[in-house]
Amino acid sequence: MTNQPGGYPPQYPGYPPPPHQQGYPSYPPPGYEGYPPQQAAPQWPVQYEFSEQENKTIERCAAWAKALAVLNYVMAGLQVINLNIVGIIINVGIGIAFWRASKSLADVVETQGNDVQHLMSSLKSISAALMIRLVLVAVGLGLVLLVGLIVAVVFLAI
Amino acid sequence: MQNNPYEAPVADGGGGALATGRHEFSEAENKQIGETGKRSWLWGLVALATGVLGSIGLAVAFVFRGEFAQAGLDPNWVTIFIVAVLPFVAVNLLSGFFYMGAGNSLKAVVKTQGSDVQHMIASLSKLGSAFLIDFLVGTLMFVGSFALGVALAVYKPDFSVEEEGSTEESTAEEVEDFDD
Repeated sequence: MTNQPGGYPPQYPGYPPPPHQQGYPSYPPPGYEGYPPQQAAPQWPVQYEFSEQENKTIERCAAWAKALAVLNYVMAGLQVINLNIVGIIINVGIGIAFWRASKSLADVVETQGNDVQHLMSSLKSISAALMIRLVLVAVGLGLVLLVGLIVAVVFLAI
Repeated sequence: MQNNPYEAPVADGGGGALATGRHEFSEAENKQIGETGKRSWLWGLVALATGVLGSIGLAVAFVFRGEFAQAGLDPNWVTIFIVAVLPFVAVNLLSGFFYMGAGNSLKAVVKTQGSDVQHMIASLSKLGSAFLIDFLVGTLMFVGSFALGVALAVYKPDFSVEEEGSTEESTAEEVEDFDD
């Protein structure tokens, strides 16, 4: 049996006729042009997600950054015995930077949806740790040059 | 069941669809990456320069060991110097190589397009190796200095230098001279 106009099921005996045959307005109403045209889904910024292989490399880097942080903390702890305040500050500073870098790198591996932000955060911390080291080298070189200059001036004067 | 085209995209916490494969870092991100790359390269240069200077020192010590001995320096000291400095030279050269490599890879992330993720992963791999070397060297130095400190405290070696003739005899001669 074929359907009736309007998509209604065939008229079976004993059942009432379809609504449009009973005087009710048909559906859809005349003039209705159908559903609005489909719109494209809104474009959200696409977040990059590192693959499993890439995560392995990041995890390794995180592990060694954490090891370095722990080493710096231990060195700072031992310098407490000597009351070497400068040494404590430097080691704690570098330790915190490496610890943060390690945490952010671990977050890249463990979480989803914010990999790039976590990666940027880790790079910022690594950059801070390297900056502390570079400043130390610069200060050390400056001191060596200063002492050398003083010694040269004193010996030349004598 | 059909998909709802108006449905919000599914993402965990980030508010965006997840992608793998290729990614191009934004300008702000490139700035941070470039800065880290510069510092990593510079630190690598410092380590490499230290390694090269140490190598020159080792070469001088090795080539002129005969002259040093003639000048009165115990040849054992030259050997001790070479054995002590050689590992640090090697480690500095290696560490410098990895840090500079990481810096170059980070710079490549900023300068090139289409391979940002590959360069980033390469830089993280090299940084991981550099951190490993730093950790091993730091631990060795820490354990070595701790062991040396304990050894000095336990054995209390006598470092005082006794000059020839500076014994009781010479003291007696001095007393006699004073009496005269």
